[in-house]
Amino acid sequence: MVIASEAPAPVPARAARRRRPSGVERARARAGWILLLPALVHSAIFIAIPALMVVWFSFTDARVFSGGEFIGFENFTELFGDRTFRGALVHTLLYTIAVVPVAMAIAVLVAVALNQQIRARGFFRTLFYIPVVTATVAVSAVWLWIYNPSAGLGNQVLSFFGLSRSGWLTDPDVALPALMVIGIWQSLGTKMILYLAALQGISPELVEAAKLDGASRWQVFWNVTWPGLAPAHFFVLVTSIASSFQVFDLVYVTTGGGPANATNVLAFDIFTNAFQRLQTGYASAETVVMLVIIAALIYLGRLTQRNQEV
Amino acid sequence: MRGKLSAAALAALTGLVLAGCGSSGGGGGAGSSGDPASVTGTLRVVAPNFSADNKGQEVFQGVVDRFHEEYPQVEVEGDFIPYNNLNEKISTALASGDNYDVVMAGVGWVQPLADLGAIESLEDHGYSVDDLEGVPENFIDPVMWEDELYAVPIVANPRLLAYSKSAFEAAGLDPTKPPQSLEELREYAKKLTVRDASGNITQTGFDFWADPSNYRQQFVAFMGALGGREFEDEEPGFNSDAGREALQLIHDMIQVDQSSTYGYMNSAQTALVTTGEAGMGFASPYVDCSEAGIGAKCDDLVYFTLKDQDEIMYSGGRLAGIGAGTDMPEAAAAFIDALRDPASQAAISAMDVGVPLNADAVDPSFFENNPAGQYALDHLDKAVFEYGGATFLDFRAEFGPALDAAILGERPVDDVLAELEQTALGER
Repeated sequence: MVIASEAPAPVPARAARRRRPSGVERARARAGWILLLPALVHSAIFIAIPALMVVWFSFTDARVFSGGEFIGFENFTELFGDRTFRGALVHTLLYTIAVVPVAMAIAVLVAVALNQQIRARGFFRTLFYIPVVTATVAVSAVWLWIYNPSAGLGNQVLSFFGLSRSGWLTDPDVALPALMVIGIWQSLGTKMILYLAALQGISPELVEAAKLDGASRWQVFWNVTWPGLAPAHFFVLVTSIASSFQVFDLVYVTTGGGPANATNVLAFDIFTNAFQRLQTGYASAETVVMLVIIAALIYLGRLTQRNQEV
Repeated sequence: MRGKLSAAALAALTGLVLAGCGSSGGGGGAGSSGDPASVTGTLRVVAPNFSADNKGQEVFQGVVDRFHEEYPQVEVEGDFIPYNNLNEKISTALASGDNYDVVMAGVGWVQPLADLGAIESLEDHGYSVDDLEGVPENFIDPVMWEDELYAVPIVANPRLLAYSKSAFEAAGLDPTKPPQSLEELREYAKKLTVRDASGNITQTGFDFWADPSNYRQQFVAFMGALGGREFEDEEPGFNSDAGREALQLIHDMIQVDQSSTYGYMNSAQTALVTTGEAGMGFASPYVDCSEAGIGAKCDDLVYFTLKDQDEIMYSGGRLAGIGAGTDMPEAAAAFIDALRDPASQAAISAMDVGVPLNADAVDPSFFENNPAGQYALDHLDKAVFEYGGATFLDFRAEFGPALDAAILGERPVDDVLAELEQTALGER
């Protein structure tokens, strides 16, 4: 039901623009700026200025501590002819394509399950969230043991089923999928919590009404729960894409980008170019490309969201 | 939302830029000239492969104590890192304008760091090549840049070759006759490989003692035995018949013969031949044959060098130089002298599987119960290295993964070496 209210008398636009804010409003605005100032300074120093400098460096041949000379688009031209960069880009896309949707699907299932009135619900919620709050280095150490070719759990399981051992992190065909498994496992908790929050925001009355209308459990999920998760999907998708593109510590600790660059991803390649090869300008160009790709993917996600809103 | 996303994406850039936005120069402390005993300040030292455990700290403290005999009031601040993190440490130190006063590094680092201006010519601080008396002649070139001395060798870190006599006997090989050529090495490795009923290796035929992306030194060793050098007069020499043959051989041993498992290391990361897990392979130049070490197992080990086209032994090494822009060059030089002290060399060698370069001055007891050290010392003049001019760090980052691609059969050997040559020449 829409309640009609009396519309206020229209205020001429010019008059509205001319109206001077009251003293209270000015004081509030001042307080707002003062409270915002620390965050603004922080953002300027640690985000805005470095970001602008990265863009500038990407057009230079800067090395570690030299500003370098302006070389136009040379870094970008070189990048797209660079086999290592192209490989890193492909690996990053594959990692994202595999990890994001799979982890989102599993997270929805887990969240739905943990939204039921089951025994030890809190315990299971905590259990699924533990990988998120555990340092990646620690997580990687555990997975390094699992993937150990001689004594690891992974190969013991394979042996149990009579299968031959796998070089989980030393076989170029297996190493990236092996990291994807870790990525899915580690990112599950965050997504699960977000979906759980979204699930609890879905009106119980809607679910009840659907049940009264004779909807099955699947119909309730598909017609009531799933649409109710739409805003969460978008948020989870966007944050997951951004974090998948920035995967670094996992690769750094487990494979170092190997074997034969099979797990070299964009963030790690940027690190290698910046801090191993000491090519600051080139690494900056790579960073700009990564930023553009992430922005494009997020923009595509927003388009999807707009279509749903329509 | 858009603002948050932009912030998240831009945050990824921050670390990179912070490394690039500083200025060069700077020093580590507030030293003053004059009587060393009255100098105060902090000397910053980057110390790769000085472990952060009690043993590593004890060795470092020993060096500091020797330094304090001359500079008692100068505090020493060590930064202990693995070699793989050395580039990022030095680059961030330079970028932040807070360079180290003393830079310890491996053989390949000196020339690129000198070219970058990260370390100073030691000849500006009273050193000359004549001060390196006792250091084998082949260790001199890697510490020179544009005809000036930039670092001082402290210890050598060779990779020896060793085999197990009992494994030789079990394989029907004569334990008094080590392989001489690479062809023989390959055949011996096949015979030494032992598998279980499922075909899984229970004894590696030849252990390269390398994790993934780290077959560089082994490649240099094999190529050296075939008469090739990684660089000669700063020009790449690896894209040669010797280089191609060496890389093809590593590929064949791993992928065709399967006498070695690619990238396999035990959990302690010790050479498999010294633990009895391999019949033959690369090994450390420091072994403790006392009961506290590997004891009687030492009697089973024989060290050897390949004598194909050339008789060679691969060696890395720990070198030390003075960081550019230091406020305390005299103190930095004194710290380097403390590192060169025979007692320091022996302690560092024991900690970091090395062998003292100033062997005449080292206590002979260092070599008791350490036959590997004695063997390495006797063959230092046969050492070949991994280094090659100003672009070496750029090249090094690409070298390991590129070799892997050939070793694993992902790319042809010829293509890999040709592409690496372009990188070494600065054309890529």
